[in-house]
Amino acid sequence: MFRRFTFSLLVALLFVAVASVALAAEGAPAAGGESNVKAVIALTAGFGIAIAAFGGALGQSRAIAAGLEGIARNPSAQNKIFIPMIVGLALIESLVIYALVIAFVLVGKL
Amino acid sequence: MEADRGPEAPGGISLRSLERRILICAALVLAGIAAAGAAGAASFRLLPGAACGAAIAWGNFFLIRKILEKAFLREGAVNKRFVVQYAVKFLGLIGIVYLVVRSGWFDVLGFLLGLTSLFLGVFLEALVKSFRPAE
Repeated sequence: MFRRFTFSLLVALLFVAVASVALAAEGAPAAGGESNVKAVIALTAGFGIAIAAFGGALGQSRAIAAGLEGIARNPSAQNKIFIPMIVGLALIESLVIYALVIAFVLVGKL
Repeated sequence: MEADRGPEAPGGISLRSLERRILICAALVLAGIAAAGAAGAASFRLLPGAACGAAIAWGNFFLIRKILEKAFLREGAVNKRFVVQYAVKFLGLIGIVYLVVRSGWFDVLGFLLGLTSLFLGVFLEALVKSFRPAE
């Protein structure tokens, strides 16, 4: 069920992405390729940060859930679980910041 | 209680030591850029951006550690204010990154290089721990 839903969502996103580019191309034929490039840049920035946020949120939630579950099961191992969890959270967040920087750079080109 | 000693587990990764490694890696990245600039292989314009990126990487790690330590490593109930603090930290981080990238004061490539010091610091810490004999 979840797989089917995910697949449908991805296909819908793909259609929206393709349709946006096509509509943008129809809307400004005089502008030539520049309009297309801008549409693609906007889409890339949006999808890039969306995918990064999705992956980062999923990774952080899994890390926190697993870490806290481990601490709840074995409180004496708190320090050994907690430190790698913080390191993991920082690394995941840094990756999302990378995507954010790239998205800002792309938006600056619009 | 063990948690009151802070997250300095014997034999494990120490967060303060990791922070030092991040700073060391930031210095290495800056030195590398300066050397490349001196050799003519890179522009010196990368330096301020790299310094800013390294400062943000270190500050972000420092704040994450402080907020989560305060929330979870204290005796008693979990301090729920950490949700607000984490959200404020995140929004501040986004604001700073926006300012840095959109203002044009810093080179974006240098900024990304500076941010890499966090990864390099974790890598260095893991390398050091793996070569150190177990206590």
